[in-house]
Amino acid sequence: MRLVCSRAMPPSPWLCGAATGTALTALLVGGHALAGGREQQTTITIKRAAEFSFGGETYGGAALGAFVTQRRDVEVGADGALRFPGVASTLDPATVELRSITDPATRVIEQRLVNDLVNPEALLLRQLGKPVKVTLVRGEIVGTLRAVSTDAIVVETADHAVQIVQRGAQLIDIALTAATVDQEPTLEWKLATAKPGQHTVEVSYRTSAMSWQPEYSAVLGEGGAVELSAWANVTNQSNIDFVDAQLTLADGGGDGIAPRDGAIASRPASTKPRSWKIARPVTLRTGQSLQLELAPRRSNAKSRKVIVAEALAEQSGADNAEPYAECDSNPRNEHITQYLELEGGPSLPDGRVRMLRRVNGELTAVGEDLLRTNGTTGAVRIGIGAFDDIAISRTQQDCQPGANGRSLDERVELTVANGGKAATEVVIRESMFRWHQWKLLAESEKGTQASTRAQEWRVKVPAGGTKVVTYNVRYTW
Amino acid sequence: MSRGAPIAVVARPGLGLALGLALTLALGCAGRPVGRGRGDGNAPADARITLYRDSALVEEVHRVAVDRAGVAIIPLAGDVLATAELQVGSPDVDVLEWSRVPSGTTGAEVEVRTSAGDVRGRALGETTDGTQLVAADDGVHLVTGAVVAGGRAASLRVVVAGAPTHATIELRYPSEHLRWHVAYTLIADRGDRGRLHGALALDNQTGRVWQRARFAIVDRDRPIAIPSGLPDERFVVRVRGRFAVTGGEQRLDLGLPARAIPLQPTLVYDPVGTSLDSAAQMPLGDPEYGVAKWPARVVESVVLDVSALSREPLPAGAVRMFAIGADGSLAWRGEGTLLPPADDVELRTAIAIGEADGVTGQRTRTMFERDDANRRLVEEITLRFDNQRQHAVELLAREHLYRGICWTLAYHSTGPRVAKEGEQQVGLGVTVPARATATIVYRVVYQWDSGQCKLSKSAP
Repeated sequence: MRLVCSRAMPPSPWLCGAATGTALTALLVGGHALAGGREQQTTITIKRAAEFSFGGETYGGAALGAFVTQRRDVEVGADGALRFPGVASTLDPATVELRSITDPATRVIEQRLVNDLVNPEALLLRQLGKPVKVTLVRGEIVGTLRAVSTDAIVVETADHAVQIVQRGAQLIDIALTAATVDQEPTLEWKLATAKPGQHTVEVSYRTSAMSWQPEYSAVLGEGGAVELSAWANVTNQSNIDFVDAQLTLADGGGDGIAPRDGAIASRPASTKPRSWKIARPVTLRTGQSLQLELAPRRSNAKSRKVIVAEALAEQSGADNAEPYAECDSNPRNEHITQYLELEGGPSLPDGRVRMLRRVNGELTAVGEDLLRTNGTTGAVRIGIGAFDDIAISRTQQDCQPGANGRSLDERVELTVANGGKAATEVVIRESMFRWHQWKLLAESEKGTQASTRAQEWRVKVPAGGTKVVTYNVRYTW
Repeated sequence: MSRGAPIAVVARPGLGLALGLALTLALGCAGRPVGRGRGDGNAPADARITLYRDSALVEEVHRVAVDRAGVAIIPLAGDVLATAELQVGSPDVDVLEWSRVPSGTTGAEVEVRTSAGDVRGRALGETTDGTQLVAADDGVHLVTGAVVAGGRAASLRVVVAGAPTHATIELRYPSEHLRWHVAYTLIADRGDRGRLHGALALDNQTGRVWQRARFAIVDRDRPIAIPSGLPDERFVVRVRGRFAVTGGEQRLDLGLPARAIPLQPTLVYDPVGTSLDSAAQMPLGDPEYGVAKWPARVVESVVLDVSALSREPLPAGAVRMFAIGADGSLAWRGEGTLLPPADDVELRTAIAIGEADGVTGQRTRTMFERDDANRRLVEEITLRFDNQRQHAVELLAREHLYRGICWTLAYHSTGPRVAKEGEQQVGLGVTVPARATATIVYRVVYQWDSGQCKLSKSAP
């Protein structure tokens, strides 16, 4: 058995394989393996929790891992044995599903994850009883490797002499002539199938070592024009390269975490899940982060300053595991914030934005903040500080829990006061904090749903005057 | 101006070399490779760099070839690799994705050299004790004490849309390894006029080099949080020209206009200096702070109005003044400081050139009141001047509002003769009659809430 390395093996220029006489089963690049070259198709969905801010701090955005599906032609032995090398070393074995497209009746009897990446000691131990050539400062020893320790190796030579070679400066090279480098993470199964031989199988699993987060860059130009770039920073630490994968990035929804190791049970979907499918195949190399364009760059986008008045903390209750069913629940946190708003555009996730500005052609730093998005209209907002002239107050006028204990009707009055000397347009933003299933029954001004948990009303408040908005909402759960 | 040449902008024969020497000495770069000079003035900049006090914002422009798959490879080194804040974009193509490809041998073709011979193959990795794992034609090798040749250089891999053969790729990143300071030289070519020259001393430890870098200076820390209300950026001073920048220290010409500006002789009383300045929002409340017997010395000075040269506040730095002697040589006259820019600061500075005979000053704290209920602190200072000369003198009293940065000058006795000279510095003007005394009284209010922090020029 010889090691074969060839640039001719697509798609990676770094493919190395072990010719075993049967099939190329091992692909390794730099201590990590490639998946994709042998795949018919790989699809990956990487999840993250939705991001939100509360009291000026940003929460959420936690990495929730990825769901990987690899479709491949494989050879199932007559005894039902199947090896499937090139899976994420960080996969959760409990989540592995194998489906044979060739024989849907195929069942898994046993499953094992072999996760023994290349390291010198493991490699030496696997070569016990196999040929070895040891190069010392003075001469060579050729024979069979018989024992290995951290201090020495034992070699039996052709004349059955046993040589103990100290591992130190005098030992230059240990050549393991029968070694292979197929120690990539491998799933092994014993299958029950009526059709041994070639199968097309689909293997899917959840892995924790993949994550993504949105990142934005906004460059302010002359006259309020903004150039907005939206990126997804995708990180792969799964010890496997995924080549030409179909990638979907998702946020929101439930956290999908199983209750174990003392962790709390999985929470229900308290935010509506959203996803962004990357339109072309993507190669995710392990140990690297990849920046993917999340939406086409918006050049010369027109911006305007808007004042947003919130009586409750932004996205209040977005992370709650059960509804706020008590009428006196009232997480008040009035704050008035000025935003730079860009209207329209694709639906994007909230994320960190780095803002720059061109001043007479020179690039200057402005700062960083959380970019907030409106999932309904596609508008994005970047906070640019507090606004002192406006105040908001919130009064619960009525609250009626449903008779079945599964709903609550509430009437709320929002009053915005303008202490300034000019009439001001204000966006009143109200977080429907009790639960994510809600429906407006009535509103005194026509508003718009700004996210799965928020409603907004755009009103003009006269100088020195007030503006009142009331609404009736029904929560169900 | 040729590369490496000292700056010489004064017309007198023989003076250029002297001025260049003066600037070199002023920046402390003597004997080092200084002054890379202006690059090709017509070619576009390959880097646009904005220098802040604590860091720099770098925008590199790369014109690169794109292969059929839409992939462009840009070699990387230095700070571009280190920063997590790298941004990649393009003005002419849509960038679909980008990633850093780190340097290393793992996965690459290598030649492992040992005293017993070489092993060629692909590097599988390296253990912490330095053992190299190499997949060669004759199996897997575990090699110790070897020298590895080969491997790949770090690079940026950019995928662009469409099928261009070339693309312009812009990299933006902050760096803390581009340190700088500015120094000025004032050449008084006649008694009442002078020319100001500015030089930017740059210490490039970024690991990057640029052929045609363009610079701007914003003399404050690079902001992290977006400032409230998104105010205009007013402190950007553009350095004219493009420069070849290599690693290490070098000096660039600030490119100030060469015209002469008036120098106004005056007497300056500045007994405290900046040593007591506390740049905190909460003022120092110790009643005895700044109460001392201060020197009576008044100095002969010239006041330099920098607004004639730049609309934007120039970066802070020492100003060394030289006068041209009868033989064309430069004679050192004195030194002052351009303070860091601040809101509504007068763009002027005074340079001390000698002690003033016959004029003395006295500084006394005449009132102190701390009002915790209203979160304010009031202090009154009285300055008394004694002029024994036979003629009246114009005098500038420089006072430092050293207790904190949020202050208001609630009262001053000098009428319109007041100017904010720095974040915590005011100048108060007074005429002291011949053989007589004059007094300046001012009252400063410090607050520790966000309040009116700007200088009030008018008396209440």
